[in-house]
Amino acid sequence: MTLASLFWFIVPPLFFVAAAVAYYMMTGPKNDRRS
Amino acid sequence: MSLYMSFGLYLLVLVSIGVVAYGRSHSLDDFVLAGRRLGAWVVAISAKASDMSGWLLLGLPGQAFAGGVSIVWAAIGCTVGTFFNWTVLAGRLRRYSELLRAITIPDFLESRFGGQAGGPIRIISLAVVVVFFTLYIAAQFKAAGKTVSVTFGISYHQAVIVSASVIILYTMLGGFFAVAWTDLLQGLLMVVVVVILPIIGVISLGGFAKTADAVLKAGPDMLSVSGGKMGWELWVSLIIGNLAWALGYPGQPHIVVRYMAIKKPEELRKAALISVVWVVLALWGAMCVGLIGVGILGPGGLSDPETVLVVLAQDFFPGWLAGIAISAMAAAIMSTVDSQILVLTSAAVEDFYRRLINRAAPDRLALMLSRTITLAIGLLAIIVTWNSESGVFKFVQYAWGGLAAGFGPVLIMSLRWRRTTGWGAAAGMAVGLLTVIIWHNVPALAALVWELVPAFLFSLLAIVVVSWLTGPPGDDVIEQFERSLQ
Repeated sequence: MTLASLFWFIVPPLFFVAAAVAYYMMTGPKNDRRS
Repeated sequence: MSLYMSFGLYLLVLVSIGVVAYGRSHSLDDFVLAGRRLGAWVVAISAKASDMSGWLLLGLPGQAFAGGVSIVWAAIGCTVGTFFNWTVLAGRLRRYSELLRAITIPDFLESRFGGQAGGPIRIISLAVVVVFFTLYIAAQFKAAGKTVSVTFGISYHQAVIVSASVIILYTMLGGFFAVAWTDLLQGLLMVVVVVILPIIGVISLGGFAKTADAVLKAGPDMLSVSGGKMGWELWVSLIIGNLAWALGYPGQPHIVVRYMAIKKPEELRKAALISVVWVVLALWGAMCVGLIGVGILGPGGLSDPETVLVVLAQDFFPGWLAGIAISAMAAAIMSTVDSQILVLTSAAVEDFYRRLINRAAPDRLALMLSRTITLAIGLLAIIVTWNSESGVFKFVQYAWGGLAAGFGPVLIMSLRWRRTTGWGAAAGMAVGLLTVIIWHNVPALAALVWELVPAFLFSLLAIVVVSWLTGPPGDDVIEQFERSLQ
């Protein structure tokens, strides 16, 4: 049970890094209407 | 002895950075905003190092040591806040503040709305900055004094003098350049230490499975994100209470002012990525330091869980390297307090002196005044800190909440809702500030939930309601808002 719970300790950092990478890709010069 | 030498060398490097930065600071813009000339790496890491404070290397590992992985909710809250700031606020604040030629947050808010509400906005902003940064800076000096005195076996007063004089010296000399460059060094030092220590710890315990076993010996819930709690205690006290840290991020001037200092706004996306990776490594690393500490030392192994990082560093590293790890701890505190002293200085010189007393003050005078005020704030903080060593994190939580409610909602709305009016902004700030102070000081309310949560919500509500009641903003304000988006 506790080791399964540890899964939730590991998922958030991976999720946030993935989100930051996605943000970086999506806001690139090709997608930015301002540039 | 090598411990002292490493720490001494570290302090010397900080002062040298201050001296180099001195040559770069020619105007008030340079002193309080590095003349908007910083690169993505410096802005990204400086924003995080200024944010994290002593909590990262003292509080967080200590909490993980004492209570296990359930403290992950605070880390998630801080990461959500970081991500929100970079994606929702950073780009717009950078562009809009440059358009308005604003170099501080109070300055930005007053220029953003202008008109009759400008005066009240400036006065409330100054009140929020002065009250809560004084508390925050004093708390950081206390933390620095405590850490340095415990580690090096000198008295608390000697420790406060040593750490405070170094901080004051480089901040006074080099202003924002010095603060941002030292933040970069300090931020890198912090993250390297909290990533390396757990790796060595897991190896010394014999791998992941054995590490997990060792941690579980300290308590059956040490590896549970619910910490063995249920119902109200789990959902409100643990999860919502800790996630609420995220609400504080938009309102911290010492963090958000960094976005305004980047040279090219297009670089902010790169800075966002660097910053999020940094915060994830730092927070999860710091928690692992606490967990591995309890695995190695056992739950009764430390009289003060907050010293877990120092004890592990001294166990694993030779003297000089332990000295560097301990420098990282001082770095966490210093990189926050230097940025806060600078916000207070900029409030005094730009927002008070230049705006209200002497509009025509030449740059040389403003620069000289800034250095004098930085020195005065530093000395004042030493005096406030002199007689008490307790209450570090209690002060931090109060100050964080006060800044969050005073500036957070109004900054979000001023950048994202064109319909926001000056009176709406002023009302929101006043409501946020008063709610924090009242809620914090009424025990029955304080016991219910952290004052930040209601204060943030009431402030947001006040901005919307008063903005609707006070009619639409003028065409010139709307036009300026549109231009900031381009």
